[in-house]
Amino acid sequence: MIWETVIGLEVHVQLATQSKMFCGCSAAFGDRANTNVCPVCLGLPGALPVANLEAVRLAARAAFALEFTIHPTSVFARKNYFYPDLPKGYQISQFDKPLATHGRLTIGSSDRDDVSIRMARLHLEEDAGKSLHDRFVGKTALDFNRSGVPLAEIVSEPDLRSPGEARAYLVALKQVLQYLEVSDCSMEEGSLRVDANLSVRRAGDSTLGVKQEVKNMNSFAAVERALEQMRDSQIALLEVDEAVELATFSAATGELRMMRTKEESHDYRYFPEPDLPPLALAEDWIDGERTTLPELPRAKRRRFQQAYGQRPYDAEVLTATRAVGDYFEEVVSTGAASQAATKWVMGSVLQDANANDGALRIDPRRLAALIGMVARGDLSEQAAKRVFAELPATDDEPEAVAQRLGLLQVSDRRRITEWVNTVLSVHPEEVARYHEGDHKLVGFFMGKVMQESGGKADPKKVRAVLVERLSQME
Amino acid sequence: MRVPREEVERIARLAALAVNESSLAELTTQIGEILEYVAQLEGIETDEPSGPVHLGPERAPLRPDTRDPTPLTLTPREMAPEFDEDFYVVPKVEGVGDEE
Amino acid sequence: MTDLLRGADEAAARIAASEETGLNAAISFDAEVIRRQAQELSERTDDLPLAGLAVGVKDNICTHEYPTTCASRILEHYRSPYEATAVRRLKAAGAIVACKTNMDEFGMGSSTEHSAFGRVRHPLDPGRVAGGSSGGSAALVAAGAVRSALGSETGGSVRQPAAFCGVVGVKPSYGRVSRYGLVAFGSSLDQIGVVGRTVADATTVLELISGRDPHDSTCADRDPLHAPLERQDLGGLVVGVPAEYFPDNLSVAIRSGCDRTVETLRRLGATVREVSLPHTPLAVPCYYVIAPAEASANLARFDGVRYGLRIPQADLHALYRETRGRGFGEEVRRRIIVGTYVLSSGYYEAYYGKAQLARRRISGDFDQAFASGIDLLFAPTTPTTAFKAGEHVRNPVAMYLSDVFVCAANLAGIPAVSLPIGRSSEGLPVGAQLMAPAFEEALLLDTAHVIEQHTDPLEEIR
Ligand SMILES: [Mg+2]
Ligand SMILES: [Zn+2]
Repeated sequence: MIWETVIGLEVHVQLATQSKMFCGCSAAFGDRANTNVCPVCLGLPGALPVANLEAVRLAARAAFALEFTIHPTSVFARKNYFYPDLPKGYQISQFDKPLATHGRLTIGSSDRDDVSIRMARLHLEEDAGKSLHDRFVGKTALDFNRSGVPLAEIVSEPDLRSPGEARAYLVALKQVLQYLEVSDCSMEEGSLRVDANLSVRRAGDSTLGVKQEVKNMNSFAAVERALEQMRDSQIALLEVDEAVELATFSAATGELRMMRTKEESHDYRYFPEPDLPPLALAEDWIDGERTTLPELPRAKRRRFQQAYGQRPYDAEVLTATRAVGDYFEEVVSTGAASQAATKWVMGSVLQDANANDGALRIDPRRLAALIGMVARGDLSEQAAKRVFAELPATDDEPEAVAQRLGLLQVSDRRRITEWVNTVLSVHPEEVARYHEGDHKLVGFFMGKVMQESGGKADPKKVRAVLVERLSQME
Repeated sequence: MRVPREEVERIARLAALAVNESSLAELTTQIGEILEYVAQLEGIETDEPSGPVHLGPERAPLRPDTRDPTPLTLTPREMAPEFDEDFYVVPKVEGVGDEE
Repeated sequence: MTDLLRGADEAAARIAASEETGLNAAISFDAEVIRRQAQELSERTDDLPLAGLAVGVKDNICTHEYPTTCASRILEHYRSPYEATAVRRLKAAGAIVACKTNMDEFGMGSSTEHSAFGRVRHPLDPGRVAGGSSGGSAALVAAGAVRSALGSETGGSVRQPAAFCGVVGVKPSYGRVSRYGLVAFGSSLDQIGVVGRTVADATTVLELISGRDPHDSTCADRDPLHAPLERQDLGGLVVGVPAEYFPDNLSVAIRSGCDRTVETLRRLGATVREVSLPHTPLAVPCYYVIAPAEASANLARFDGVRYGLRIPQADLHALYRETRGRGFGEEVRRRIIVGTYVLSSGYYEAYYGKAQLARRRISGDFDQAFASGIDLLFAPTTPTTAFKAGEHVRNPVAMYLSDVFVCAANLAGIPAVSLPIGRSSEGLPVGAQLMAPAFEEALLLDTAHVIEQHTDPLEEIR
């Protein structure tokens, strides 16, 4: 039997605002528990929500980038359920009139090339507080700093066909959101959270199989792994004609554990939020946001390949984040040749960034200057790497650093000719053998000349002068 | 309108309300009477859009993204029934031991 | 300086005296708290238009001065760590929060019998109710303890007790006064209102608390109300009298009282026309779907986790159920169950959906009447005078029907004022109301003021 896997993803991302969705509390992560709280986000009696413009703006930009249809009028709704970290007993979300519907994201799939994944909706809502279940024995501790942080919920259609595609979708989604500076998308800090559902059906069937859900994964790899486990266990059941049961799993521990759900907990009794009039966005505001979107990852990759002659892999690496792409282009625009810039950024620069929390520590102009020195022959590749390693610790120009370290190459023809003449004059026997046809001796002379120059001579120039002098002496 | 007692119990659970046995019968009757009374609305024919009625401003005002919370004159600790270290505390949530 | 302190002491004495009669209109009252506020006022150098005026504040409006209990066990010891916008504005203008007034728990009731802290007595007949849910505010003003008090309306809760007690009750347009700090019951209906000894007293307070508030998204973006009460007569005014508000079973005193006031209107130059508001019968059922539905969500926050009562239990869900089951009174529990029911899956369209439709129709009736050249509507406030305590307690629907004339204005969001127009043969106050198009409070109050000048509220209606 050939089975087809069908996956849908629900992603919550925290929007990168200063203040919360409906109150003026700080939305910062990691502050002392229960210090960023006020009447609104603690759900105190009499408090009322007022929506944050920046949250709306960021959600709208995400919606544009993901090719959603934005609705000029959307409606906030109350989603009612009891949970101790939900202070009002309802979450302000959007239900039947969300901010955006019908989005699309193209991902690379190993099985079926580029594939366009449809998205059902993108809506705004508020985050709940954080429950800590193992802080105290037998108790749940609650921190409401997160309560009311703005979220965009992005729901895909069940268009993904493998755990690998699910992961590719998440990678592509995160990349777009980070490009837009809509969210940090940090799974560790919880600013990006994934709920996945998966069902399996006979290949060719048009109806979906029984859906199982999984939540609480802490990385994209964990999402992929959890989905693989769910897929494999469902197929194993179906192979022996057993039924798959509706279930929700938690992957918090790395293993799948079934979560208890009550039938009633799904009756959310949504109704329009009477504390908030409809969210109505003016046409010209919408247009303004649409037209100021930055270049998105796919477009940038295509352009890098065309404009800089990069291979697909290079372009992918150099557009991985907006910062790296911008950095690369800055290096080129301040004078470096694009090929050398590609090599340098993909090599030393990203190595250094990886070792330093992703910080691009050398300003692009100085890197371009360094690349220029190599191109002119003032510095060997090897020496340039040593200069690069020194740059973070100093404000000096690469040239000054090279000089201080005594790494500048001599490419002055007169001086090189002098060294060559000296070496040739003290090795008449080797010169004779050379002239008899032993051309391998060039290497021997090269070594001697480099020695004579104290390692400073530009090897390319040395070779050229050597070959020229030897042929003159014949 | 007769509402089954089990339905009232189910709704009370959904609303997180303890209802004691002794008052359940009367409550069930009263809920039935109230629902019967408001059921007059069923007679309205739906020939027009029935979205929610919004009074007040037509569009939600949007506030600038600035940090200016209403200050609290009592701390969370002073208001909470149970507070330990920096946290509000409740009995452990059952069945979600590994949930974040 | 000393005037402020003397005035504060006198106000405290008046409240103490009326409470000693067994009124039970105040939930929290402390002469020391009043005095301290007067002291603070005396140290202020800015303009104080209210100059130490003592006001009662309904106990569902957040104040720093006293607990804010909503007359509920679940908030019995709750102190608000912030202040309602309306209260903040009154205090800024020099008012003193004299006491927190008794009410039906969370505003759910029409008699102030559903208070965890005992029922409010009618100031003229202790065996009768003061109306509700702002019964404490109305009774306190009627007893002469304060000149004005804040109340709140979700479905007539200021006008109905004002009518029962023989004082003035104003319900402003939805969005006229910020709801920030008003503990929500039915958010799309709730509005802070004012009970006053006279139209002028109520107007003064309403002007000060009204106007835009960045903390309430449903508050209108308008300047504070300016309502100079300057008309001498009603020449040129067209007043509509809705036929549906005069059913056959209307109490005789109320019908006759309204007839007499209609004569007064005519005499003062107004044109009085009969109009029809055909969807009036839908108002109470519509109200009793929308208000409980919204309340079921609004009261979910009282869960014993962050503030208020907690009945400790080993299991979290048991903690919720016991805290809420014992913390809320009977009527509140009933309404939460009704509200949860009408929103739950399978019932939503039949109840909540239809109620929205009904609300639209009720609103449409008013729009049509006002578009037909009518400036204001005149009608009785209540179908009966103050009823006896215990009369409707076991029969919720009968209790709900006492709101039959008041709740349409809340559903439509329009302003209304109830004013006393005489006394029944039993000596009980009779009230009548004026309703105006949204944000026409200036005309509404000016007209009420003219009627007040030409009416003896103590005169028996024959
Ligand atoms: Mg969500
Ligand atoms: Zn807050």
